[in-house]
Amino acid sequence: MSPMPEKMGDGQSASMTSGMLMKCGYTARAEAAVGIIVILTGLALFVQKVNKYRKVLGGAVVGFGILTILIPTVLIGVCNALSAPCRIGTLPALILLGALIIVAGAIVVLTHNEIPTETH
Amino acid sequence: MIRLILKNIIYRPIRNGALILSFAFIAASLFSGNYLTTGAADSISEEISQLGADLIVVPEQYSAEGEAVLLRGEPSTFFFDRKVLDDVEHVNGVVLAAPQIYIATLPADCCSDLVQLIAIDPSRDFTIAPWLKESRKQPIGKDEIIVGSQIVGDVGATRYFYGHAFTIAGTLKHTGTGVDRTVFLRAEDARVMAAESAITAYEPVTLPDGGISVILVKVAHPADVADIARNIAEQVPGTKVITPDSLVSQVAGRLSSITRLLAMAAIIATLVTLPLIALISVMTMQERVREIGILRALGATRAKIFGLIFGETVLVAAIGGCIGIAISTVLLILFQEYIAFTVGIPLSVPTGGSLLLSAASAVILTTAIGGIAAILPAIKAAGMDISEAIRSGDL
Repeated sequence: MSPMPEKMGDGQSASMTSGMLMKCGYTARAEAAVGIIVILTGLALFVQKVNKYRKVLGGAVVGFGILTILIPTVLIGVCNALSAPCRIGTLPALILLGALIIVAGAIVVLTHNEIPTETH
Repeated sequence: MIRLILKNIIYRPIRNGALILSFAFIAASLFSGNYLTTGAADSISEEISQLGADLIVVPEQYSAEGEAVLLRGEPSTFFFDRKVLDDVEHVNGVVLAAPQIYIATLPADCCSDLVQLIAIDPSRDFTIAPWLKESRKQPIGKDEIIVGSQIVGDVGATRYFYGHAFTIAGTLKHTGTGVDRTVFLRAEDARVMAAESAITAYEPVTLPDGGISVILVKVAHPADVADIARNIAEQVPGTKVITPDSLVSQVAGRLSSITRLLAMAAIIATLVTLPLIALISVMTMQERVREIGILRALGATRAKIFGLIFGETVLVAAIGGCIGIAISTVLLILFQEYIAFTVGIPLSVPTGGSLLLSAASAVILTTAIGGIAAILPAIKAAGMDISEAIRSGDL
């Protein structure tokens, strides 16, 4: 009897062995971290009134949006199982959220384009 | 005039934004129902054409399992006697009959899926044979597998089933159905794998001698499919015949509650929105009585005033419709697998033609709803007396 049934391949799984966190687990942690940073950046945007800095924060939000998409698609990934909830539900939701974050950041960047008035 | 209409829309961003959202919701509801129905039907057509069969004969007591394999790729292992193959071949109108053996794999770990293995008889097969002839120019070899589009692994990679090593020889194109989660192999390799499984796998698989799971049938004249299906069911006891039409109607049944819900949402939204739009159009007109009067005094005809009020709502409806369709398309494509899995239907992006038709009909219907709501206020505005309008209204 083989101790590891059918080796890898029956389920096409490559993401976990017993005792280790699955890919989606690492993705969840990374996304939570990015989420906290996005919230903090959003709060900073509420507080910050200087256009130049708001634009920089908007740019950062765009970057975090891109990161939100890249984590489950390229950088870490999700489970390979075809019907895994993380693949059919969480992955598209994260792509959608990432796109919305990028749009929100882009709006901040584009709406703070006016030339700052000279102060004496 | 278009520029004036656009300016009017931009001048009242909140009111028109709310209207656009309402129209977007109506269009999204209309479009989504259509998308799901056509996407499922297209998916089944693609699968049937990939299988190359006009009919599929399954054991009567396993007909639900057979349909589940085809529609949702839910793996199953079932058999009936091979002598049924001879009986099916002798039914009038049957040109080709190819047996297949269905074997469900074992789960490997917590985040793995079961996969459907389909063992074919290369001498009779017409399912992957045309694909092999076109793409690979050689038949499927010993311990080689052809995998569905959702099976992970590149050509040349090794995959283990019941402890037996197989090499991926090719990947089939995406259909959105059970075929995408299927692995095709030779029947003789499947029998070797089954014989070895008592030693190599923790749960062996047993293939009965001469046992087959389904028979794929090609008929002489596709128009006679229904008659031949009836003849097979009558002349070969213990069998059930699955036709493309029966698969489509089964999926339509599964989708009916969702499509009904979407249609209801569109109807309710329309019923709520229609008087709302009429009211907003009347309000807008009241606000612009003097403006309309001045336009009339400057030489604008009644038809032009009608066009201005009517065109504004119609344009708002068209913009809302397009936005609704764009948003629902993105969501439906992103969550395609989730919808297919939870509803238990095959689903793929509808073909360009049917997608365009669904989108166009949703936009036209939404725009028509906007037009109906705006017609009375527009007539009223066009019929306004010039001097009274200039005196009474605000500019």
